[in-house]
Parts: sequence; structure tokens; C-alpha cells
Amino acid sequence: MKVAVLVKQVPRTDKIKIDKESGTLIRKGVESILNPYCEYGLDLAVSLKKKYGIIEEITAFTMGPPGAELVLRRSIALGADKGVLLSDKAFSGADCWATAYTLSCGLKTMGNPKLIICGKQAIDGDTAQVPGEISEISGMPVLPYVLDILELTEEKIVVVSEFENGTVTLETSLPAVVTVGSGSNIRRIPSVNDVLKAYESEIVVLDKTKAGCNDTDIGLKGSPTRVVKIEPAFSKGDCEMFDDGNFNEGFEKIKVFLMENNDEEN
Amino acid sequence: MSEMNRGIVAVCETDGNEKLKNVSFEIISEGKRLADITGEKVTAVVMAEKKPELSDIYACGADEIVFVRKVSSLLYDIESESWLASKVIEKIKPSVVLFGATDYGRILAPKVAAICRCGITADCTSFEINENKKLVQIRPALGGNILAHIISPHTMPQMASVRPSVLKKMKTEKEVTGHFVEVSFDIPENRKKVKELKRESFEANDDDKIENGRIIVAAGSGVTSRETLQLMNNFAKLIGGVSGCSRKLVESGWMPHSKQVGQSGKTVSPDIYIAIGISGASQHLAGMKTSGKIIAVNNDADADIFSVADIGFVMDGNLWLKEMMKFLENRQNNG
Ligand SMILES: Cc1cc2nc3c(=O)[nH]c(=O)nc-3n(C[C@H](O)[C@H](O)[C@H](O)COP(=O)(O)OP(=O)(O)OC[C@H]3O[C@@H](n4cnc5c(N)ncnc54)[C@H](O)[C@@H]3O)c2cc1C
Ligand SMILES: Cc1cc2nc3c(=O)[nH]c(=O)nc-3n(C[C@H](O)[C@H](O)[C@H](O)COP(=O)(O)OP(=O)(O)OC[C@H]3O[C@@H](n4cnc5c(N)ncnc54)[C@H](O)[C@@H]3O)c2cc1C
Repeated sequence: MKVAVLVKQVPRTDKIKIDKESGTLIRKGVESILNPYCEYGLDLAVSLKKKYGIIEEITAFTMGPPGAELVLRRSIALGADKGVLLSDKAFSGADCWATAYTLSCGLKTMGNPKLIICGKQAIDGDTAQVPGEISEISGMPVLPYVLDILELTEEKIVVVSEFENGTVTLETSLPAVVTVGSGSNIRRIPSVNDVLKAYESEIVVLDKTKAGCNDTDIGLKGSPTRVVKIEPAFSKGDCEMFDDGNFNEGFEKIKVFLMENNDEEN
Repeated sequence: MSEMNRGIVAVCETDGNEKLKNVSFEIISEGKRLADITGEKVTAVVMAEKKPELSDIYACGADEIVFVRKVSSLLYDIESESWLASKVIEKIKPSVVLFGATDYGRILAPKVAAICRCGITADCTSFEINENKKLVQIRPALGGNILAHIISPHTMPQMASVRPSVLKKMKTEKEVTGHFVEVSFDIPENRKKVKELKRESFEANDDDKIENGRIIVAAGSGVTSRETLQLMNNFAKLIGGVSGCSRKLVESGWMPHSKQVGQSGKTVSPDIYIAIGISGASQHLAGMKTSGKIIAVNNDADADIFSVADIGFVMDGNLWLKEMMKFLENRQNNG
């Protein structure tokens, strides 16, 4: 069977700082990486391929500008067999729905993979909405927040999914979409050979025509939502500081908070 | 298109014991606040095996309750409930639909949105109504570094999920009631493809859940010994709080994932949040920034956690805990 892993290129959001004076984002020098949750998904696909003989091919898909090709090469270095880049000026400004639609079109051109693995969420847009929309648009069930895959055959899959209050073991027929919410936090380092192979691999590039997209369903035009304003998240910036010398003064303040809290409860 | 859609729908979620989750009351209350501005009515949609306790739902501002009796026994029946919700929405034709952004809500909502072919704004922390009567949906993004204002200019309904514990549950003490309808639909076969084989809960008891804590004391990797962690747990108990942690302590196996605060853990908004040895990475801040009072203890004066704190202590976490316990005990003894 064919497996698709959807990978997204994202900025390292943990390195983004806010300029305290101007209140703007400092994105300069912030590197682009493969979204960590997508990397967990890729790791899962690679381990499945090793474990079950039935996976013929893992294809990494991304929608993005031409430079997003880099995350496909990284995916190949980490064990994907090939990469597909959905790239077209007309895709820009896509919200979750238009992104999900475009990716679904791309998946169709690959002869409909049986298993579509997504990250739980991308750390830039942070919405976690794309996989659910892909599952609807492609008419497949979705199994979210997968920790482990217990069984995989040509017909079905059994997974353990983690929700905030516990885990559930779920079974469904294929094709299906799964999302991956955790994995090893140690980023794998591919061998030199794998990196070289990845740089020599051919990346399939699909524009809107090759992907078979409706003009009205892609990019900004196809997007039901609009970002109308962006502001830096507030920071209070007026923290009262204490140290080894005067902590008791600080404790007095905490005591007041604790007392206020008790009053509210009673 | 848009002229026809009216009303605000809150899609509620029940827990394993068929009780409505807190976040459901929060979205009903927020729906009521918005409805008072736009002059619409609020409908709470409850999909559950048993009829819910109605009075609490009305007391938070619902004018109407639509109850859809669940037939499957799946705890998270994503496929059929997304379809059911879309059917109810098709009937009501509301202008706004709100979901709780729990793990379940975050996968249910995009499916409903895709069926209705409308927009979905995830994890909102506040809402406004703009001059064109559109819903402005405000949400954090980029690991909590920014707030984005989002609208759905051309499509209906305007759909959003709302972070738990951020908006307030507003309950009137007055005896209120409203309209109640029970509806049922035959779920199509292709919505029954998922089976639940096993269910395991890892919540100990209600008192220990961080999402219920009005005071949370959280440890980061600056808590470097088990002894300090134990001290922190004792301190939390002493002040009537619950303990939480950063992701690093989950990774090291010192704390369970159910205690993790942040982007890949839980969002909390207690009255008091005390962070000990936490650097304040944006992914952590994303889960606790809206807390009432934030107190931070860190031996590095430049730690980012201080940028969101009200009171900061530049000192060793272990020493701070010992001194703080001493201080509180003295207070108790001296009345
Ligand atoms: C500040 C800001 C806020 C936004 N808020 C919203 C909003 O509330 N609603 C909305 O509809 N749009 C929103 N958008 C647009 C949205 O971020 C983009 O549509 C984005 O392409 C997909 O969303 P995400 O990054 O949140 O992905 P998520 O849904 O979080 O991604 C989950 C998984 O889907 C797959 N995936 C997602 N995007 C791609 C891709 N391009 N290529 C390959 N795989 C992918 C990956 O496997 C990924 O791990 C926002 C954009 C910005 C800048
Ligand atoms: C996709 C993604 C999702 C994530 N999700 C989350 C999440 O949900 N929650 C989360 O917390 N993190 C999350 N993270 C990780 C996050 O980026 C940080 O790595 C993490 O929050 C750091 O934890 P920390 O503050 O405990 O550790 P550190 O960053 O190592 O900070 C330790 C702090 O302790 C201080 N310290 C050291 N010794 C002492 C002492 N003796 N006394 C007092 N202070 C001391 C140090 O000065 C330092 O500031 C996520 C990351 C990614 C990429």
C-alpha cells in the first residue's frame, strides 16, 4: 500500500522574540524547520514500513512556496521515498480549508494513498484544523492524536489515540487519515549518505492545473476565513522583582493574593 | 446567504460520565454575551446518551436546548457527531457556531466546518462584533507570540472553537427556563466506520486535575531534584492548589502528561499560577498566560517567564520553597 505523510515548513516559533519597545515580531535569523509534529508523523511512517512488509512507498507532500522543497528533502533523508511539492502563486493566502482542499487534490493525483499521516498541528498557524478537513474532503475517517499503531493490514488499522483525559484504542477500515501528537523529542540526524540521496532525488512539483484544482477553491479566493489584523500577544511587562535579600516582602504580596482567593471561594 | 442565518449555537461536550464539561458552559455564556449585542437567541446542542441537566444550561443563557440522543457508545464519536452537528446546523441556520477547543472539539469542529463548507477559527480566546455585525474571532498563533483577528466575510455560519478556561462561565441565580427539543437522525453507514476497542482514563481524581485548580504551582526543569519536587507538591497542598509542570518534566518522566501546561498540554487559567524553574518558552506561556496573578521563581533574572509575571523572585527554587513554607507556617502560628 501507499502511505502519504503531509509535512509543513515552519519557522522556529520558540526562537521568535517580541521587540519590547516597538511590539513587533523579530523574525530575522529565525530558521525554517520541518514542523516537529510532522516529523513525528514521518518517524511513525518509517517505523511502520520497517515493521509491516505491506508498505511499498512513503510519499512526503507539502504545499508551500518553492523553498518548501527543503522539508521534502529532509523528509526523504529521514526515510520517505519521494516528495511532492504543491506550489503555485494561486495557492497563496490559503486558510485551512483551501489548504486541505489543495492537499486533497494532490493526494488524488498519487492514486489515493490508503493511509494519510499528518502532524497534530503546525507550530506556526497552530490551528490543528487541516487534517480533519482533509478527512472530510477526501471522504475518509480520521483518527486523531495517535500514540501508537497496533495493527496495520491492507484493509484496516488499529491505533491508540491520546486525548486529554485518557487513551482510546480505535479501529477503522482504510483509507483513513491519522494525526500524530507526540514522538521522540530527539531529532534524528540522517546519515551523510541519506542526505546526499535526498539532494539527488527528484521532487515532483504540481501547480494548480497538474493538481486538478478548481480555481475558485484555492488560495485566498477559496478561503472562507481572513486574517484582518495581527498584534503581538500582550505581555504585562511590569513584574515586581524580589531576590535573596528581600523575598519576605514578596511573600507578603503573595499572602494577599492567597487571602483574596480564599474570600472569593467563601 | 448571510441575511438568512440567525442565532448562536453552542455545541456542547460531555465527559465520560455524561456530565457537560465546563467549557460547554463557558461557550454558552459567551454565546449569550454576543447574543445580547446582536439580538439573537442562543441554542445549546447536546449530543449524549442521556438527557442532560437542563437548568444549568438555561442558567448560563441558553434560550433553547437541542438534544440529540447518541446511539453509539464511542467516547469520541468523531464521524457520526460531526455529521449530526452539521444536520442540526443545517436546520437551525445560525450565524455563529461555537465549540470548546478541547482535544475532541479541535477535531470535531474542522469536520463540521468542512461539511458546511464554512470557515473555522481555532482556539479563540475572545470575540468582538465589528461595525458590519461580523464576528471578529481572536486567537493566539505562532506558539502564542501573536494574536490574530479573523473574520469570515462571505460564508455562514461563522464557526469557531474556544479555548477552555479562558472565557468565564456566567450563571444567573434566577430560576430560568427555555425551549427543549429532542431530535434524531439515522446515521449513514459510511459514518460508522470507526470502532472503539478499549478506553483507559488516566485522570486520578477531580481534585487533582489541573484544569480544575484555582491555584496551580508548576515545576520546570529548574526543579532539579526529586526532593524539591516533593517540597513543591507539599507546598501546593498547603495553599490548596494543584501541581502542574512544563514539558521538560514530562519528558524526564517526573510528572505525567496530564499535568503538562502549554501548547501540547493543557490550557489553564487559574486565579494564581506559580511557576518554579520554568524559563517561559512561548509554548508554555500559551497555556497559562491568561491566569489571574502569575508568580515566577527563577535564578536567571532574564528568564522570559518574568515578562508575563506580576511578581518575580530571582532565586533558587528549592530555597524559595523552604522560605515560603516557613513564612506560611509562621503566619499560621502567629495568627
Ligand atoms: C496568525 C494566523 C492565524 C490563522 N488562523 C487561522 C484560522 O483560525 N483558521 C483558518 O482556517 N486558517 C487560519 N490561518 C491560515 C492557516 O494557518 C493556513 O491555512 C495554514 O496553511 C494551515 O494551518 P496550520 O498551519 O494551522 O496547520 P495545522 O492544521 O495546524 O496542521 C496540521 C497538519 O496538517 C498538515 N498540513 C498543514 N498545512 C500543510 C501544508 N501547507 N503542507 C503540508 N501539510 C500541511 C501537516 O501534517 C500538519 O502537521 C491562520 C494564519 C495565520 C498566519
Ligand atoms: C511543538 C512544541 C510543543 C511544545 N509544547 C510545550 C508545552 O505544552 N508545554 C511546555 O512547557 N513546553 C512545551 N514545549 C517545550 C518548550 O519549548 C520548552 O522547551 C519548555 O517549556 C522548557 O521547559 P522548562 O521551562 O521547564 O525548561 P528550561 O527552558 O530548561 O528552563 C529551566 C529554567 O529553570 C531555571 N533554573 C535552573 N535552575 C534553577 C534553580 N535552581 N532555581 C530556579 N530556577 C532555576 C533556568 O534559569 C531556566 O529558566 C514545546 C515545544 C515544541 C517545539
